[in-house]
Amino acid sequence: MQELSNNQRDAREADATLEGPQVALGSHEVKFLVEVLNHPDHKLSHIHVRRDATLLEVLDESARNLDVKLLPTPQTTLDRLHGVYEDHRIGEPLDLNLNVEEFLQQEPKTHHLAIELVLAIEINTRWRIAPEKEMTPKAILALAGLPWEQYSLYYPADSVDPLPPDAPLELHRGQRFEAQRDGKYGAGACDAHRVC
Amino acid sequence: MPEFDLRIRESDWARLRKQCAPSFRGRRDTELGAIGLLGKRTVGAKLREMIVTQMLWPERGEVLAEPGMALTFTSRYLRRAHIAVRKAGLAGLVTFHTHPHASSEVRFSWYDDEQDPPLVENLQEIWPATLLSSVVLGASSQKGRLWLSPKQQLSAGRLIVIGEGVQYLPLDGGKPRKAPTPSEIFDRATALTGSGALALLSQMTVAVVGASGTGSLVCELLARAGCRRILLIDHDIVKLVNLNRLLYATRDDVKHRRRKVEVLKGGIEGLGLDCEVVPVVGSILDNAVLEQLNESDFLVGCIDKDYPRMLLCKYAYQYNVPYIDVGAEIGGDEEGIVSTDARVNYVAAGRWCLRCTGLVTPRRLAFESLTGAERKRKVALGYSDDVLIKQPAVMDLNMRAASAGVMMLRHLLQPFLRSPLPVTLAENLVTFNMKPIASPRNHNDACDICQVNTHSGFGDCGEPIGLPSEVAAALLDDEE
Amino acid sequence: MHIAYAKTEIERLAATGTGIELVLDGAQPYAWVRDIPAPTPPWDRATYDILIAIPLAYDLGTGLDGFYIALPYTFNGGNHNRVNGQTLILKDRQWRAVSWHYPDGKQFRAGIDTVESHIFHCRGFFLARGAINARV
Repeated sequence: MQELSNNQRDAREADATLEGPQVALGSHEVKFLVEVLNHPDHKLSHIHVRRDATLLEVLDESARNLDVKLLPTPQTTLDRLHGVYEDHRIGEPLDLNLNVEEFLQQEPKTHHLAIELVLAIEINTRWRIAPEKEMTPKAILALAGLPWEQYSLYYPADSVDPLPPDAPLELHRGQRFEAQRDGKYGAGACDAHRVC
Repeated sequence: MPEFDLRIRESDWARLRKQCAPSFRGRRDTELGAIGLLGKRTVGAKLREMIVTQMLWPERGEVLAEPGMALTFTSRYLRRAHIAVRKAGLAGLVTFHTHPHASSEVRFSWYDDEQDPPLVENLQEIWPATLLSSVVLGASSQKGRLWLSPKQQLSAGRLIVIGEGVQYLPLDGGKPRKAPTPSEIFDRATALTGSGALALLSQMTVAVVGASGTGSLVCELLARAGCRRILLIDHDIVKLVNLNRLLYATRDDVKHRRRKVEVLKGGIEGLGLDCEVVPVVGSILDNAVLEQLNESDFLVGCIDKDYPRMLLCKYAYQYNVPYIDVGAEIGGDEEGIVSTDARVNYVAAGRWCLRCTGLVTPRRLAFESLTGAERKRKVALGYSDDVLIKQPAVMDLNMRAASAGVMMLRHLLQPFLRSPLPVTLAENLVTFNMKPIASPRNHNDACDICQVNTHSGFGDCGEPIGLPSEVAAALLDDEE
Repeated sequence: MHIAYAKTEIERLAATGTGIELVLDGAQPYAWVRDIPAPTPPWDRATYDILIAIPLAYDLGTGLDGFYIALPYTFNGGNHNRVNGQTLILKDRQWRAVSWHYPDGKQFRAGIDTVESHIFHCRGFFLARGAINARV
């Protein structure tokens, strides 16, 4: 085994002073009880996360522990994390940019978190949270910022028959729609079409 | 400056023009159109051509065309095309539409300019790799462009129509330009084809595969016909036995084991006809060599083996490039020589491949595509004598085949022979007979090379055609 | 991909229970087929392994022809006159080429015949036709 140099020894002593006694190293980590809201299995689990981890990382760790998939991806998820307080009161969605340390300083304090899996649907590459369980294709297009006059909505992904624009659809989480616009061409629509 | 060309089969182009013809008759107030699927052809990382793999003709109600109104390709029609592109791994799609009042000149309307970017944005949002080409047709003109993204477009140069002829139509919206007057060296050839064919040939790169007797003659004839760029492919060195037929080859080349392609480059370029020969040392069986055919506009096969011939056929259909195969055969029986055939076959979209023609036989193809050790064991079984017959290497006969091949190439650029061309054109000098063979000997309506080729026009979007380099090298080593 | 059709056919056969795999001798592919049934007598065992050479241009419409038999074997206590080709060693086994071809006019038809139908043709060698034709 190599002997430590004087410099290395000094650095270690400095670190130990900052961190306190060895027994306190565990205070870098925080234990949370996590669950998924309204999940049929109603699973609970414990996770250990670093104090400097963001709540987005906590959400990701919780999801993996509880075996649920965040949508669209863990890094860009639309799903939410809530604090669970006394009497199982669910708090507002948490700011996922906060880190654990900051979260724990907020009142009321809790070590119990819950994931809310939202009704996320995809239109082309645009992920949106559906406000209703049933929506018409027109409303789905509007949700994605696509004017229904110009686009038709298709489901499933390889279908070539457009969905009737006003017939409500029951939505499910992760459902993928494709919105296709018409192709318009011509000199006929051009005022000066005789020169086109 | 045009940045890409568009290739299409003659049958598709003829049908498209026919379907759009009503736009240019009567009141000329109804716009028509159709959508095609696109493959692509690249040289290195540079996009060279888009290839119309297939026209997806509209079903009832998929194109909305009212007099005086804009033309609408319904989302259903676009989607049908787009799904086909995605499933096949193709490069994109092309929309064709008419401007009824445009005749010898046509350009995109402001409406076209306004509508294309959101369409390509939409298609790319669904499938990011999608390219969108649009072509506007006037009565006797056409203009094209390619959208790489909603903000980046390439302008089209030419529409290359391949079939019973090879047409180069401008895609810049203008009238076909008058061909430049050929230089004094070539002006006598205008008696045969006019200056148009000469001008085209001078702009084309012709790939000549095989640089032995027939190949060297084809190169010479092409250079003297005004071709200014030849891609010459062969792996072999000059041997003593080649000196009876290989132009420009000398004993010194044999001694120094010079490559045939290098010797021919020196000879042809030394003619002073401004013809550049690009030598490619390698076998056409090798995918890395086959890729280099992407630089070419025309293929001429001067090889006496069936395996490379079939790969060239496959390439011709997958890339919609015309291919002329030339060769010579001597037939004989106990009585002596009964035929000396100088032969030409033209292979292209809508025509038969060399397997259906009967020129390539499954037995010879199988034999040639075994490795050397396996081939030797087959020979030892005594069942392969017929596939071991060597092709004739007689310069006078090779010369007749090379000559007929280059004449056919000239005809394709500006017709002067009777059309359609026969499946095989063979000249039997023993009987003083030119034989146009009209029907294929082994035709197969389900042939997956020429009739129902699912990768026809796919270009680079299809599977590699040849062999991995190491496998091709193993086959080649065995031959040598 | 070269010999993609052959690979697909062999994989399909393997998936449906045929003892078959694609093996390479350098660049040369072979289909190694296990347990081709043979009547005993005249053959000395109830099943044989065979090797079928796959031409690299198989996908372009070539045929298959002949096969190799795994050595050793005996037929009526001796040799079969059609097992007369050269030998090859592959995967630690010795194989000998068998002169077993399609009759004239009934050649392998590319696009219709397959590795499976060729195996069926090869089985004929071990059964009546091959045995009757044999001179001991």
